[in-house]
Amino acid sequence: MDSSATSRDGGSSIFIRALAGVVVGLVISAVVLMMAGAPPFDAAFAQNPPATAPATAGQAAAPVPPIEGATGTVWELPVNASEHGDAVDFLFWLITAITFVTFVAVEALLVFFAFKYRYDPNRKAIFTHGNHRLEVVWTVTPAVILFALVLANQKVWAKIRYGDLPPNSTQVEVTAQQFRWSFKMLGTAERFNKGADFAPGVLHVPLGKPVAVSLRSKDVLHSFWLPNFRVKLDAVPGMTGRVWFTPIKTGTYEIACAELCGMEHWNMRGLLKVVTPQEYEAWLLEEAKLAPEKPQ
Amino acid sequence: MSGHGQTAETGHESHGVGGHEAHHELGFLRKYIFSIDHKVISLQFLFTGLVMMIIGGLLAMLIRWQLAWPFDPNHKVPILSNLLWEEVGGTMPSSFYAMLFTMHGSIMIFFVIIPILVGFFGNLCVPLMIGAKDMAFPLLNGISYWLMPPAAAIMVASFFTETGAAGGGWTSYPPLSALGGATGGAPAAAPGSAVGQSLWCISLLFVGTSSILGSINYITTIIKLRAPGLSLMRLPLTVWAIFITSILVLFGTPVLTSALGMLLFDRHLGTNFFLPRGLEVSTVPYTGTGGGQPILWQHLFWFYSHPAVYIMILPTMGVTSDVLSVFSRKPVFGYKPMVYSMAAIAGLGFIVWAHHMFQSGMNPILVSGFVVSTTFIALPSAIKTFNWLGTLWGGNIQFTSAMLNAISFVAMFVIGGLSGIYMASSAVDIHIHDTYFIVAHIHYVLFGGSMFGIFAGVHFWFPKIFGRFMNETMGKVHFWLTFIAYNCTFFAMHIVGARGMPRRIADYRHYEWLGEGALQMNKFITMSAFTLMAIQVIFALNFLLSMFWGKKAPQNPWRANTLEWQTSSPPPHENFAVTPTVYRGPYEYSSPESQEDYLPQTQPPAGGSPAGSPAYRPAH
Amino acid sequence: MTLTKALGCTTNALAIFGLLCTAFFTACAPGCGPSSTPPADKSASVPSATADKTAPAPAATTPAPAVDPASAATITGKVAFSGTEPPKVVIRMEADPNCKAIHGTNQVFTEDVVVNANKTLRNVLVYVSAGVTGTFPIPAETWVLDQKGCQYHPHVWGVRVRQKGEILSSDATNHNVHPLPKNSKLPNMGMPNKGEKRPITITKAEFSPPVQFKCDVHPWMTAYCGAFDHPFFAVTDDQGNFKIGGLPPGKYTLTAWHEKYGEQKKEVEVAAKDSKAVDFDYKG
Repeated sequence: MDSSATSRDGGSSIFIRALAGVVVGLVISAVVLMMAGAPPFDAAFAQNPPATAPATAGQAAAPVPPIEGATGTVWELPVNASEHGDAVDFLFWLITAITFVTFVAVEALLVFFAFKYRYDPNRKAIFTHGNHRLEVVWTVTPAVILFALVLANQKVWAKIRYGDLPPNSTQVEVTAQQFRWSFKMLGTAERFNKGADFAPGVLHVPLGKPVAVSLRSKDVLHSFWLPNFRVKLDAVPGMTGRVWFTPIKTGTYEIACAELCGMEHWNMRGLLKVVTPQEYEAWLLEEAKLAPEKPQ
Repeated sequence: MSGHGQTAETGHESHGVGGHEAHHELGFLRKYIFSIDHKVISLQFLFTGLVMMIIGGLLAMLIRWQLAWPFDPNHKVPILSNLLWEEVGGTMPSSFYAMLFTMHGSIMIFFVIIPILVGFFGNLCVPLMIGAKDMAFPLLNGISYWLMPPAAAIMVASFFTETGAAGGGWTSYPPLSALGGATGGAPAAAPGSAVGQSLWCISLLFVGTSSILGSINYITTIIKLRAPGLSLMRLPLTVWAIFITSILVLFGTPVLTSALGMLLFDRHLGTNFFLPRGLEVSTVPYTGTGGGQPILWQHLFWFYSHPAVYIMILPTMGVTSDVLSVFSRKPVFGYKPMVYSMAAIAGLGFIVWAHHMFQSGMNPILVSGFVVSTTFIALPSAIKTFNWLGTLWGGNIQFTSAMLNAISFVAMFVIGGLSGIYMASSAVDIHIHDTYFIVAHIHYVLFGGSMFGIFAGVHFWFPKIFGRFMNETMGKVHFWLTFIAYNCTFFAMHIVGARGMPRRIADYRHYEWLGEGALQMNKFITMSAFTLMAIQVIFALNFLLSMFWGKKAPQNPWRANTLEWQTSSPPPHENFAVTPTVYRGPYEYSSPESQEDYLPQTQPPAGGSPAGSPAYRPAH
Repeated sequence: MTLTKALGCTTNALAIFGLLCTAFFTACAPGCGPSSTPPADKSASVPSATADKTAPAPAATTPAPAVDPASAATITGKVAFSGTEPPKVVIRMEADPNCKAIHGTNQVFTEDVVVNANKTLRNVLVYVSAGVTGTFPIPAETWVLDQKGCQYHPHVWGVRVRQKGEILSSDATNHNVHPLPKNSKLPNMGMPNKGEKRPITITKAEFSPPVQFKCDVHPWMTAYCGAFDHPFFAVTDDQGNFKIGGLPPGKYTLTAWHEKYGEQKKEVEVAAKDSKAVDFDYKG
């Protein structure tokens, strides 16, 4: 048999080469990191102020409302301001724990086996076709864990999505269209004897009371996403979606569109403001002044 | 039981199922262009796939440029900005960005991964590994390939239309993709919804046809043309993978074809499969009758596209099993569980599709059903991972380029598979749906999985195809640099995604909930991506230079067992001078029966033992 | 691998692919999609003897056409408003804090009905709708539509068909300029950066009603642009006055258009060097 061209290297040189590769890789990574933002390269990559820069200095500008959800770095989950958010986040961290342990174990074994069983011409590999008991163990164990995850998810999912809009909630109709959100405070026309339900620019809701959203779309698919409330539902034209949540923190939060809807999909940002019930009532009265009168 | 359609005669072969004109010299056109030889066709698929990979990769570079310097006039895209956007200030319009991610996804999925995994590996490996002269239907095989260049041309040409390429995402959800402005009185819902979208549909109809024709071929070939003694349970896992993949293709693709047809009808013939009543586009009412349901498209599309993702991973799972076994000098651990788990992935793969639709407005109770099936589809992949570990355990591992890439497949696929568990939970999916967490998952399974699998397979079978080795040093340098740059590029996407950076958006800086660091992280990802793309030049050079000047390779350079290594490198036109007879499974490495650390499938056992009959199976 | 075989394989992948690409490019590029003229049409501006600019600011004058100035007539007038002024509607800008920040605590009102202090209507487009003959050279000046304080400036204006225009964004927020022409094709543009400019040219006449411009992101932002084949148009200013000069003698129909109250027509006949007054009155 002709000599094989496989690398019959002794154990050390492959790892010297691997080390060389890693060093080269680290150098490249260092360059990449430097170019990504460390001085003096950050000047080279400075850019125009982002589109959301407030008015130029010198003008009597109203303060841009701080976004409560903007706290933290990209390494953390966004702030949660919703009653069911903790349950969702718990699932996230539970899965992280399970997958992290699995990841470390599998990758460690992989690297360990690669080291331990590297080529030795004086050794023959262990000739086995498998192990039935091991197969059973590593089929049943993950199956049990996965089943537990199904149950854990079902508990949370049923709570936040099964059934219909909760009674005694702030009823809001959210309409999505290219490329903005519009809101209607349902029931306000009747309550304040006005010509139409209030249509605010920023959605205000009272703290602690469920918000029942009827979700509609005028043109294409959009998706109503409240990152700080763990709420996401596609706005499907021809259907009225129903989703609800209970805000537990005051502040101004963002709404984003989470389904590609055209050119300005990236800019389809809305605002949701959670206020105390007293502030909410006061705000409704202000809105009532701006709402159209009932036609005579 | 062995099934075979050829006689085991020596010398002159009968013209059986695979017979064609083998007795006279074919002209250049019939030999290299319109060939019906599976080996040439496999290379046609590979080269077309690699060219489209360059295009898809360049599109990705443009996406990353925009995300690192969104709408930044100080960092205009080189060349393109002056060519296309001088009038609009030099920055990339968001409508163009939509076309970029749409076409990047569409090209990579339909013109790179699927053709290379099924068209290249399938055509290359299946006849050779089963001891056949060619595929069951060689002409059909050629037609299957030749549907691809027109499809690719249409897809690329769509960029050059007045309104540009399709821009509705590779998933193309209506009504955005259905409102093209051609019917109904309303304008197009986006520039990318105009003629480019129709061209996209037509291109994919060609690709789908190519896939379906190919799948019929593979299934027939594997069932009917196996060499004597080659029972199904003695097939290499690559062949099993292609077989199971072809079943996925056969049953899944027609649904996509139907959906594409329905979308084209909605766009041009005034039907309303996906268009409900009362639509208005920019206050202009759509005058179609309506009555359609946008979510219907999602069901039809994902009914194919979920099996499609398994189409895009199973062949490389098979290749990885083979490569790991060869270079560990050990049988695959748990051959039968490996086969059954591939079958389970495929079977379960047909009942999980709506996990792409958890937040679509679909009935939440239906969602719960899909949570169960989706969570459990992790199980067969986990079984396969453990069996790969078992294959390495106790082995005698040779770190060739092929082996490094195969081990990396396992390592990276694990990450991709584990991130999928988050998506199986519909409650967690509320947070991560349509974010970069999904993009990270996709790329870990597709690049970390399929791409490394492709590198492994190419390094492994290159000597067989061209009779020359690829350069091992270049291969290792390429591997390590790719591995590092790839992880730098895509791991960070898990982080920005979990924080909530949405996908398919041209700018994210105004989303304040992203907190500190999103821009820096995106710049880091972009730099890593540029580096990653640049490193692939090493692979391309290695491939091209080795084709002509690689060290000559013998018939069986890796000392492997499977049938393709028992014929010359490259194989003759009819693959085997004599139809081989198979006596054992494909993974008898380091067997006590042999002094060598390998034992080819075709080597007759010593003496007059009962093992001399091809159907004999040892009881271990 | 022989060179011949490699060439064959490469030919498969590249040459035929390239040929097909070229074929499709040739077939698709001009023919596919709805027929239109490219939006950034650099129309040939014939230099004309215009003295005035086609300024989009609410100036009531028109460019002097290349008509014999010796015999040119002028029509001036006022658009009165004798109806009940509707209550002013405050624009809710809080959905985009950047817009709100520019105005601070000042209230901004919608511009659909702007009644001047002297009970005249502002932003009424007045133009000659019948009786014009001949062609008129296109002015070389560029008209400008500015987005400032999240409002369009001007709100109503007139331009010449094929006259070069420019859209400007003076705001540090993303604007979307979405024209809704019925007769010509105009692009839907995103303008994310402050100071960005976009060229624009209207290729076909449209004035009844004029071309509506709107912003998909800021729903209160609308503007109306009349595109004319002749220079005889004007927009009423903050005194409700308009002036159309340079008219050749003849019989004309004058049309006034208001975005809420619609059109009114008046017949007028001018002799050489005439200066006629024509008033309109909207009753709400």
